Amino acid sequence: MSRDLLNLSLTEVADAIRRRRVSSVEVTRACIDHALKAQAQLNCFIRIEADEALAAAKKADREFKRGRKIGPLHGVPLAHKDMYYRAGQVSTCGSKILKNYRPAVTGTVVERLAAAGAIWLGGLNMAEFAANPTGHNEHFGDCRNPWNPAHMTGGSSSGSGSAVGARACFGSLGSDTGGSVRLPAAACGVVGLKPTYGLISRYGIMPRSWSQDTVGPLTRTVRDCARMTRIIAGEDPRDPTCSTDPVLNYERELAGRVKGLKIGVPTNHYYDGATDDVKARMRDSLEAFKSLGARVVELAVPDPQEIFHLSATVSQSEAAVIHGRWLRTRPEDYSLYVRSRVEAGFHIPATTYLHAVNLRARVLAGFMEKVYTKVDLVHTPVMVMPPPTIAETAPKGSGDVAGIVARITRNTRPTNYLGLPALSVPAGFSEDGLPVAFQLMGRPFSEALIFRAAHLYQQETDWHVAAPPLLA
Amino acid sequence: MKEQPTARLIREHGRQLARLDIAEQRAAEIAAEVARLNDSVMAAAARADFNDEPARFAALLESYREKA
Repeated sequence: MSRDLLNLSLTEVADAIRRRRVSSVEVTRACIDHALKAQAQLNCFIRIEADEALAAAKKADREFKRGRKIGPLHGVPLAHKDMYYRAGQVSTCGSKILKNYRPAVTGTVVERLAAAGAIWLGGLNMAEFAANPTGHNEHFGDCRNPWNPAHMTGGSSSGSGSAVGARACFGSLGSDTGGSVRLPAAACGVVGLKPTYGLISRYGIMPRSWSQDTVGPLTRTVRDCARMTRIIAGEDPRDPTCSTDPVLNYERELAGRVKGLKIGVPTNHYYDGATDDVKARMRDSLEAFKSLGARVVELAVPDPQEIFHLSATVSQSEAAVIHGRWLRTRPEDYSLYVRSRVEAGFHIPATTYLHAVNLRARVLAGFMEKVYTKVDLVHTPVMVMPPPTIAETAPKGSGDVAGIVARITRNTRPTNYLGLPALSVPAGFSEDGLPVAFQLMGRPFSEALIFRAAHLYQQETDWHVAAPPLLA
Repeated sequence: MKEQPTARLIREHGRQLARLDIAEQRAAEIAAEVARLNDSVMAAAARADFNDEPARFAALLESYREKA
């Protein structure tokens, strides 16, 4: 029974609760039991809030029995990267420095999920201050991949990828500044959205790089992701970077076709160093899109390596400001990974940082002209290799960090500088049984189209229903 | 020939302006990273126009908004 429940998707379990086929208490209890088992093998949680979650589930069931109007996630257990603030509750941000931090405010997205009826199951492991793309964490222990615990989860939303992949919760909020939703989604075999900059409020979350931070859901299916996105997206006076345009019903927009859609495949950068199994999975997925009526168009895209450097200049400079005080007074409380990814920011001239910020519109305009006048979506591998082992991606010294980060984030980081949306979608497995994923990128605020294309792909394939054998 | 930032520059900048003490070896690594990023941004900056300004980015995202 509990295994069947855990294999339901987020939307399926929400519908099952709504139709009274199962109670929130049953679902939440199943999640807690399984989360405890998963935790022993994967270290995906920083905190499992079992008593609080069960109390919330009982309340949800009581309200439903009384006939109260329920939201689209009523009684569904979710867990989030431990950087989503709830006033007065600990939010560690994966760090030693903030291990007892109790923010004074609650995040807008947290409020919106609660208003939709979601249950808070716990805080998930993450890279310290969201500053590495692998899932290493020396303060709370490394997070492990549900498909093979010797391998990295990807980061920085490591626990989100691991817990959703392991079926320890039905969905999760991660954050993406250079790939931090898409990488763990890809490595752990789940769906992950990096939304358009400005679609989803950043109020009440830990900052990493103000100009490029985005909030995104990780789920098992595209439909689940569409539902979570609709709930959390939209205008927020507390985040002035948030768009004021109305939010679409992304789930309803899934209905439709992609016949005639032009999908671009870059001929430069994105396949450099790709392994044979990654190339094969990309070809397979493009064939699936062709079978749906899409046209695949090869094209060269504006130099992603240049965009990568512009993005890194912005994020390092902003992170140096965010962490400057603690790096001066307690540098020993930071891991090598974080220190190494922030230090250069102190020495980048202010004019260089401002050049990088000021060029953003011009680079975006160039990208739109050269790419999105020719195609509707761009399809690339998220990573050019299957997830490496935790040992392979552990830096031995500060000089190793930039190389490891560049190797893993080379295909994800440019999108953050451009502010464009991108969705990581499971595309099968490597020869060693590790997840491989593609990303679909689109025009600003084209999440509805991206979701529709990816949803139709999931109707043609079954990679998203595969469960890690480890926890069977 | 273009000069590149040195470990010494980074250490002195750290001490005098950023209030940071940086070890020699780490300063050399930072110097290389700053040079890489700075060179790339300065090369791209040659394309900037006198009238460019950062706030244009958000406006441009909105202007390209995809209507479903």
